[in-house]
Amino acid sequence: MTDPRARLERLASTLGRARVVRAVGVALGWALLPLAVLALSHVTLGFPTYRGIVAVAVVTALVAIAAPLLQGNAARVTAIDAALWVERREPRLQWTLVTLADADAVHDASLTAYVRTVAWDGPAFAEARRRVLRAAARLVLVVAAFAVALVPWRTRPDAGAAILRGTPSRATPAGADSPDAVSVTARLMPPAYTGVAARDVVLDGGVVDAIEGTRLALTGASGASRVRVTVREAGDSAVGGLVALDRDGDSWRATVRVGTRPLAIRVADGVADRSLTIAARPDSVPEVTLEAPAADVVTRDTTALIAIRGRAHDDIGLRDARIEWILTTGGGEQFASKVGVLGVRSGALGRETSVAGTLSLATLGTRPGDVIHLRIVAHDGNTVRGAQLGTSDTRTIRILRDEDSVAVEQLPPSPVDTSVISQRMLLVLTERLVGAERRLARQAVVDESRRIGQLQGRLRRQVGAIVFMRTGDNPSGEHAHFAGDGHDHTAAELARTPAPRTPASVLAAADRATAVNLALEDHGDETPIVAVNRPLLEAYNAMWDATRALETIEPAAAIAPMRSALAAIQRARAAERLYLRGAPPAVVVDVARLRLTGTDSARFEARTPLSALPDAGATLAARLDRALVLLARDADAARDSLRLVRLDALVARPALARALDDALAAIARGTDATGALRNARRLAADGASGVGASPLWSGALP
Amino acid sequence: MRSRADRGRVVATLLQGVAIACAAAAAWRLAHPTVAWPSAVTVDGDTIRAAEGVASRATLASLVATAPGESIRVRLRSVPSARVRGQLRALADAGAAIALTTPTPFATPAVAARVVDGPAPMATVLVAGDSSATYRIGDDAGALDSVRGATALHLASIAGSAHVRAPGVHAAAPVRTTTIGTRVFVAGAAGWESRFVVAALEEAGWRVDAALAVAPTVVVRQGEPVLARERHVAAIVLPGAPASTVRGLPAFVRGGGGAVLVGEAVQAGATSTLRAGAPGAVLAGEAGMEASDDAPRHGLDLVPIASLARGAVALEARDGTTAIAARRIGAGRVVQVGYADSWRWRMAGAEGAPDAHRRWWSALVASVVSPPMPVRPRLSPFDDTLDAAPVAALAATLPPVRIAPASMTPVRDAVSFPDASTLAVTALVAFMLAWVSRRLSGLA
Amino acid sequence: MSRFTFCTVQYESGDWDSAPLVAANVIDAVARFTSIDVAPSGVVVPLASDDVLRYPLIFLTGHLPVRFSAAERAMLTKYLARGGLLFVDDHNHDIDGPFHRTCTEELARVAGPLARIPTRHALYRSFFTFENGPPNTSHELNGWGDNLVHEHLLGAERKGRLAVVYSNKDYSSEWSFHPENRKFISVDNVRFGVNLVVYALTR
Repeated sequence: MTDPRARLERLASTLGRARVVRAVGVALGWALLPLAVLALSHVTLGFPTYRGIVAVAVVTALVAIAAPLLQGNAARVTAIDAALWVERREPRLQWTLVTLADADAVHDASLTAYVRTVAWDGPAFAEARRRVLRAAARLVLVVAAFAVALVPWRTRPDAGAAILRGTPSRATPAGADSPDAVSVTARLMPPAYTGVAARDVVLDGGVVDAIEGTRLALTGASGASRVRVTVREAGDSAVGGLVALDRDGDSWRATVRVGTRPLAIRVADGVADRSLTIAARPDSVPEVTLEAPAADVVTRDTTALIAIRGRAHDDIGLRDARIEWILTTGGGEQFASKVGVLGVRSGALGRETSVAGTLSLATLGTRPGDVIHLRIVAHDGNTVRGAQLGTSDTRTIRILRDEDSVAVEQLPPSPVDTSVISQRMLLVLTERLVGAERRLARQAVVDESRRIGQLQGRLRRQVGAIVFMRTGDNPSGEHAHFAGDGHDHTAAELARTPAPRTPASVLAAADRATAVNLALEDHGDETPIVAVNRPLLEAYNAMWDATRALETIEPAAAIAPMRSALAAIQRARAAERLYLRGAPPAVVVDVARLRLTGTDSARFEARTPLSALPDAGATLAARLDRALVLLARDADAARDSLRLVRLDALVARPALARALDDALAAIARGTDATGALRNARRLAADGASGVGASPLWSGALP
Repeated sequence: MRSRADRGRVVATLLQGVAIACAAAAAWRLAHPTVAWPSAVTVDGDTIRAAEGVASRATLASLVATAPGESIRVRLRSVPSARVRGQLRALADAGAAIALTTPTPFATPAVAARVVDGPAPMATVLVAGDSSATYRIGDDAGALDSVRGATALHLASIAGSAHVRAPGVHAAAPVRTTTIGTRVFVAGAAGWESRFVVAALEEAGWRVDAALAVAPTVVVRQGEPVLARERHVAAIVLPGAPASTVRGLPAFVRGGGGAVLVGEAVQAGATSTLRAGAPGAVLAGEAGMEASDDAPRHGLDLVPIASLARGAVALEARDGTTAIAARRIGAGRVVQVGYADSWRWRMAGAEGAPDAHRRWWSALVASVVSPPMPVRPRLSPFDDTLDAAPVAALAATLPPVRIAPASMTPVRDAVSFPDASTLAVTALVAFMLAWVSRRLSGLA
Repeated sequence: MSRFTFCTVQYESGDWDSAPLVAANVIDAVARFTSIDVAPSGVVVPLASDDVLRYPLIFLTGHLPVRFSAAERAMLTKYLARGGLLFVDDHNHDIDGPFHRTCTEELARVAGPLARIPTRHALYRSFFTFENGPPNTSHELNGWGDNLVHEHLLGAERKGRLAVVYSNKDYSSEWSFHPENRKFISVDNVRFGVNLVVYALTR
């Protein structure tokens, strides 16, 4: 046997361990008592909640475990305590072990020898170890009871609750503040020509404005392997397009270009989803206003100076502005034109600029009958899609001819028009005959030439009737008979007929008419006699020449006088033109007489069907309904869906987009959005709803 | 005299005995769960009351466990909620005999919903209920409208199922969808009306076979312009339609096809037998009204329907005359439209007029198409959230039962034997109290 | 009920009334070959007026430059969007003259850039068949001493059908004969006007 004191020290240590374990078990037991009471209350009354019980249990368990350990030396077992404990179980020691353990007592060797003769340590140690084991076993039992008491509570009520409630559990989405979410920087960079500085934006699901051509740069310092950037343009299908990433190790960069349609950008990294809506704003076309002249100009002065003044405005900046003019000269079928510019301004003109210039009609070399069109044009500085052109209204400057009328009253239809048409047709027929003369038989050429001659003669007489009627002479004077005309006339006929007429005498009569002092404007309801007659007389003479050539079977010689006659009639007709809001003559066609008299047979192809139009409104309405259904289950996903619907509605249904703005704002505030969403649904349905009109007819009409 | 220790030992021993007994009972209870059945319950909306006691969660949970042979009388004080209806159905499936009674009558709505899918999709919600009650109609996406009493609500679409709600009552029905054919036949003289009608129908998604007369022997055709029931679902006949193209129209309509007769086209031989009424003298439209938002057709010239044929129904009136009327003939439907130049509405109408004109024409044609019978949607027997007529559906689901008062088991107010969890916790408490007793009485 | 009425539009900048007999010639041809209910005379409607919307086919011609006012441009945009058809004919026998340059610029702003109408287009097969596309005029056939032949018409489509038909072929001159005198012409290309009307009424 080793030194009894040493043995006592060891025994004291073992007994101390037993005491500590037992103290912990006691403390846990005290903690379990209220826990058991709470559990009984939870099972029977439903109070408190499971979480509350667990919280109470954990706190009390920690306190219970800590308390005995904090007792420190109070829980320590000394050698004397151990000796007393042994003495009580082994009376043969007769308090010698206690004396030996007492450090203050006087010891002699006989005490030690006596203690060694008693086999006390074996049984004592065995008992001490049993105490430790018992205390540990109790502790284990308490912990096991602790666990058994807690675990089943999680499953038993929920099994029934699942049947009763029938509601699925909601997964808590990971927020953007999750430590694993990738940090993203977003920077909007407008095109350089706008002069607007780049700015940072936050991917918070909101909406930002950006002009066409802006680039959105997304960068991240980590997560290159799991970041996905998708962009969806308004009007496209629900599937977004992936944006290619530039990766450099774990960092990445993506660039999105803003076009003309709104964009929805989404950055997902498997932990958080962030989005941004960009409302694309197109660069507006410059607005140009022509301030002077304020209205069209009609003048006889070919030396006039026309002052031109205007303004141009652009939402970003103008590149140039100028006055453009087009001078058109001619008449009838022959016109020539010149173009030019003045008042040119170029460079960085800013958002507003003015343009001015003076158009000198004399410098342009204008003549009566000319027409000048002028306007102001301006280009903006758009470098994305190219400079855009804005134009002002056009002003028309008309230079009147001497014979022109500026009356605005509607005149009766002029028979001169039919003359124009007929003369043109005769000219065509004659040209064709000349072209085919070599191929045709002589008799055919003779017959055709005479036929055209007869038609030309008829037209000549019509023109003559107009001329003579207007000059106040006998309209049939052209065919008056006179001596020596080759006809057999009786003296009585000669006596009845007026003086013989020659083209020269007719022209003289017209000249006399020109001596009448009539202001051009003061002719009441009559046509301007002077202006019409002179060209008509020229036409009349030319027709005489053409008729003579055709009757002598020289069709080629008839072409030149025919053209002269046509030109003369054009002049006569133009003299009656009304420059301001006039009405041309109307020809009434006898439809009933002409109906189905055409001889050509129709030969045609079948009609091909048109394609159905995409119903953007119905698609939006269906997507809105799906988003609203989702709102009850997953508010975050529903809000994203509503934002995407709003994005597309910006283009197709602006009113719906505004209604969705109100609804999203209400949802974000946490207020009732029912009214706003109902309004949005009605706008999406676009009036396609109503209460049934008749109970007898199930087919509804909008 | 007993010492403190003796008393503590006795108490501890008793408590340990209780704990052991409770533990044993809990173990037995886990193996033999039982349900206590109340013989009568009162249902009021979402609440079940067993006799006069308050329902507990344990009672409700145990109600859905199996216990064949029990009889329960269910008194309905209002329309039971979907959850309660599901519980009652589960009880019936478990073998309980359930009898429904209504001590006091209450109003319960019924709803049916149908969607006809095609170029002019139209959803219809039919509501039957108390004529004095106001019902809120909605679908899975939210509220739609409020109506009074029985009515039919026409919508562009329905999301999910259709719901009807009033204070204390709720009914919901799944949507039955049918899809109609889209090929139609258009016949008329070449003119602006025929041109714009064909364009509107094609833009809306209808497939058009057309015969447009340009001259007596010249007809511009498209597709197969021979009217056939197996090919076309409807025929649109405009003034000037070639007689040969509409010769088979009466048989087509009687066989189930639809027809839209426009303006003076009803005066032709074949169409005159189908018209909904005789045409009257043309009424000029109100100048400029075609550009209005609310009554654009008031600006159109009108061939009024002077006298309705027997069985015809007036669908639209103007200035005291019938502008549009409908009629059933055989298995088919005919709509007669007095507006023969609706194209003016499209060209000169207000903002959105082309879309409105297209929708109007598409709806006209759809209204004469007889849709096929809808397929009843397959619902899970456990899906008790869609009851178009809740009480009737519940009664139809439950098996018929006759419960005589004498055969009912006595009312039991409380659960007779605790469940396993209660016993286990009681054992634990008893065990702990026993230990406390030993500690306090000095027993280590 | 509503008949086809030939409508010539009046615009502010040029000589819109340079071909007053085109209407009569087209009406004449339509009456001869079809049973289309056609008004016996044409009408003239200001391009900026709402009345334009009453005539789904309108005709525009002239010699002088064409510059639409803001109101004319807006009305024409609305007209074409709603399904109207504009037929434009350059009344000049030239190439790239002032009317052509200015009118095509204005039409591009309203209807988009003009493209050649292919010879197989339905327009050339809507009533009569013109295998080689638009029929030539007598100016082009006989020549004024030049070789100006425009072989194609230009057009702009909306929703699968022509909304603008633009011609440099000077049909305005060709169809300005008095209808009574057309019987002297062996091959009458005003039949193309019938194609135009039938296309507008059936496509």
